[in-house]
Amino acid sequence: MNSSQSINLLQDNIAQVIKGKSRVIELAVVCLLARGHLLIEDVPGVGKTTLAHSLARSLDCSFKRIQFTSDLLPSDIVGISVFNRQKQAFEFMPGPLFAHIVLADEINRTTPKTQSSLLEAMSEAQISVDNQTYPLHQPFMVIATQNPAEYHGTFPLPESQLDRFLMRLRIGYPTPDEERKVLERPQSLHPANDLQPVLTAQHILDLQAQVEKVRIEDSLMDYLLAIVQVTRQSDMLSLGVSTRGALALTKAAKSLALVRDRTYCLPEDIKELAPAVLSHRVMLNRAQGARGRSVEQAEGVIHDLLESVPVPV
Amino acid sequence: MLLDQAFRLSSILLAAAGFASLTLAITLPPWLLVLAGGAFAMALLRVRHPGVISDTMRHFRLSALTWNIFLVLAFAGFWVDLLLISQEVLPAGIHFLVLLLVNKLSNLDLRRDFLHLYAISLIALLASAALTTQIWYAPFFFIYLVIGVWTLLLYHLLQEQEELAEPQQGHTQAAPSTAPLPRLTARFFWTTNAMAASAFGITLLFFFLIPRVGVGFFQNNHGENLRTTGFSEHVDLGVMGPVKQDPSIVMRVELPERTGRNSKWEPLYLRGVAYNRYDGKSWSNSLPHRRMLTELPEDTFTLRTSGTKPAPTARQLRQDILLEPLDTTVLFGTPFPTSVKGHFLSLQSDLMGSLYLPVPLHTRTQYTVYSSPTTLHATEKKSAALLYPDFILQQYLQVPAVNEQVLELARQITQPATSIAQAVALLHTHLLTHYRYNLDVPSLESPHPLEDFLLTRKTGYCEHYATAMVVMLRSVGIPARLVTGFLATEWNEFGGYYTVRQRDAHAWVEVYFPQSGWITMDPTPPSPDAVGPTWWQSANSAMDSVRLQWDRMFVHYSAHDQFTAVQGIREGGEAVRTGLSETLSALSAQGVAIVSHMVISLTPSGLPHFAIALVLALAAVYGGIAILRRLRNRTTQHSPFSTQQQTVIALYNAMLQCCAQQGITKPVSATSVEFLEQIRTRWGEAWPLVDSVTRLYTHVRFGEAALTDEALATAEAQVRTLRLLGRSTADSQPPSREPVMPSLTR
Repeated sequence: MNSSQSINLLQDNIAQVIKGKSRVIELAVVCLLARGHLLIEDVPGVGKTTLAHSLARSLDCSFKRIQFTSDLLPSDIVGISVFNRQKQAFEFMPGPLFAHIVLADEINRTTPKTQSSLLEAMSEAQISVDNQTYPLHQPFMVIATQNPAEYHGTFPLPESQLDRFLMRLRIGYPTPDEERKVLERPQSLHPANDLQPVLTAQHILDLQAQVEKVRIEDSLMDYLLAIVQVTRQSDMLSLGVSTRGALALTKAAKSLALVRDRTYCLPEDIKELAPAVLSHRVMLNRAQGARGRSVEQAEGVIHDLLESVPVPV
Repeated sequence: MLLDQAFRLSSILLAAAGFASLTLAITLPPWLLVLAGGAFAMALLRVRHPGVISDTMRHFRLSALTWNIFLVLAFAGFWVDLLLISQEVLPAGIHFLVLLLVNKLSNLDLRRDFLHLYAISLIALLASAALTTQIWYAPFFFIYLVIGVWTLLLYHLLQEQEELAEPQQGHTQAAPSTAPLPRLTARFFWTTNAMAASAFGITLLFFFLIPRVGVGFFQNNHGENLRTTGFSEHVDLGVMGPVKQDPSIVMRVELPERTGRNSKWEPLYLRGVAYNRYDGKSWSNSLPHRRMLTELPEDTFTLRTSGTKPAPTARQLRQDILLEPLDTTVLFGTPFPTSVKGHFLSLQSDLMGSLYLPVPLHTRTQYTVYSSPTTLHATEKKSAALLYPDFILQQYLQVPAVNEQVLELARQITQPATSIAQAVALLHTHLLTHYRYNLDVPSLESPHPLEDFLLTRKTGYCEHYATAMVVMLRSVGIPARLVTGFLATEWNEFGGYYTVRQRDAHAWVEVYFPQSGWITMDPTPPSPDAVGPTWWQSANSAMDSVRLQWDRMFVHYSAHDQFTAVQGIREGGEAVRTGLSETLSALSAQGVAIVSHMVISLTPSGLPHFAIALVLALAAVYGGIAILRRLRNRTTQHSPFSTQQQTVIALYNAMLQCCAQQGITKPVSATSVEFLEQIRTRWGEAWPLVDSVTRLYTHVRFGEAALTDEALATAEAQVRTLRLLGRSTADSQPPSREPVMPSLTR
């Protein structure tokens, strides 16, 4: 089974559950293959959790779900050392982070203290407790969701935390036809429970290694840098894209190229991914009249900026 | 005839016209003629039968490297020619030019080559113009003009067309062009020729009609009745009245041999006419006899005036004078001119050393005067009595019937004098100190102007002062005469010359001393209202110097000046040549010495010297090749794209142009896939072609995949089909041209 076949298999598998959202599924797979973490931001009930669930189900991997609440503590997700009477020693009890795919549901409902306990896990794929460092499983992916409609009692994610997510996705409402298909399905069970795993963890690791080998041409690199540069100079934004953001865009573009069965990047890859990868890393300049929902605003600004950057021919 | 063919033909004919004028102007060596003739023949053949010749000639065509070597050899040959064979710049340069022409004729591939060809042919035409003045040049010039108009027209037509369909030219060999180039009709041919000829005619008309006189026809202001200061050949004291200061410029005087800043403000007396008879009211010349001056050598007039005795050792003062047209035949110069250089038909002088032209000048004239100034001899400063020649006594002691009081005054003033020189000085200082200079004399017709000035009014201007001094000098027995001319006081710092205006017209006195000659004395005190230079004046003088340069460089630029310039270039070239040959011979001697020394010192016993020399020569050749190779590598690495990538980019651009002709342009920020989407919605029938080309393009351009010949041929065919498709839709129905923004996936 070559890479394109396995990727198609994975996407088709998820598409059985998430109807009519092939683009979102594709981006989720891109994020997985680029060793990134995914932030899904949308109103409740459009399938955020289902997406994460079905992605995890489609892989022969462990999956944990953490419901973030305001009283959640870092030890609740990282794990805790417990005194073992028999051994007369502390013993580390791993938390729910020790899984391949972790769903952090409503991540903005918990305190910044707990939120930041995710930082090390997300960037270094390891956890330090009591001077002990424990490596996490590979592949490791955090899928976080948050609800933009309601902000009461939430702790918005700080920029540093946001920067660790490779991309931020919106799912959006399905079309009426697709919604009908969802409704016609038998409602007794969670649809994701029926999914059979199609790929193993080793498959994913192989694919992730292949992403590294995707070729990105010099002029494309210039194009990417020009996009990053333009976000830093724009009047509409008070904070531009960081170097980590540029790196993320490169990784994501390579991953998308592989998903689309190519061994080289195209300008499309970069241009298409830029809103998803960059929009949560910038801060809108409120003085320039940014209003309404900031997610859509930011994506709109990135879109506009992309139209000012010449594509290499 | 096809447009392209006509263009090539006219380009070659243009070069041929330039070359033909060259061959008639200078005898070229036969081998060069044969070479150039061959190149022309080949070029013409390639125009007439492009296919046949290019097929047969492909094997014989020399590579670019060979041509470069040829050029380098030609350049080396130029120096050898200059230093050893023809030993002159012009022939050597022309030989080199012909070799360049041969090179360009054989390599007419790019637009650039054609431009080079035109430049070469233009230089050839100019060079032959420099070499000849014969009549046969005219037809060649005319032919060159007509063909030149042709060539430029065709050049632009072709360029326009190629901008519309760029890739066609590069790939015509792959498949016959489906879109025929427009043909030239006879009507077009004749219209263009008529246009060229009429342009030539109009130019000729202007050439003959444009006035070549140094003064504007329409700017003479006649009817000025007010008395103005200025020079006139009559000195009339009888009519008095306020005098207007006329600031118009009369002449500009340069003193090229006088350097140093101290001398610049020293006033300069420019002598015009001298008078010896005073009748109580006006001055006149009783010696009207004039002598023609000998003109030897050409344009140089020498004169010896009786009464002036320039010391042979005296330093000659040179003045370059640019004289504006003046209503007088008098020519000016500092006292006393010994020779005059200028383009005059003839020149006359009277017995008092004044210079006259046969007719008044009506153009601005440049001439040079060499004068030897006179100074009072040391022996004559003290002597109480001098022995004057009879001629002087006859002519310069006449005194009119004047009031006795004037004579009495003169005697009074000179009484304390112990020598003649002192008497002159006393009179001079008396006039300077006791009288007031004033141009605003009340209008009055006086029967005795001199008495009025000296005894009653005591104010007047230069003519009064000078007349008074001459009359008083003569009354005490000292020969003197009145001189009119200009007193140059205005120094133009920017141009380094004196500006002389009408208001600088002046009258002064010359006193005779037997040994020293005529000594210039000026009894007029300086004008009291003289002010220092203001910014306005300095700006004016800067402007005036610019005007002078313009006049010199453009209005009066003549064949003579051109000749001088060419002569200068030639002499410069000669100097360079001799200098170069000297350094070269010195260098080569040294080089030979060093090499032979090296050879001898390196040679082990038994090996012949030439073996070592051979090894050295081979090493030098190898080194040269290595450097060349490295240079070439550097240039190829310079482009970030491989040739295949460049090919595919060009192809993609050609496809974009086809789409642009349909009104579908790709925004710079749109990617190729976004553009493809746009094509699908707006020009559906072209979509498969564009899709296929775009695939190949992205594959090779970004994927750096190898570009196979079949793939390229297919894509080229697709682009061509696309162009045809565009034409057919353009013919059948107007395409939708509403601007559609690219639909972006959000």
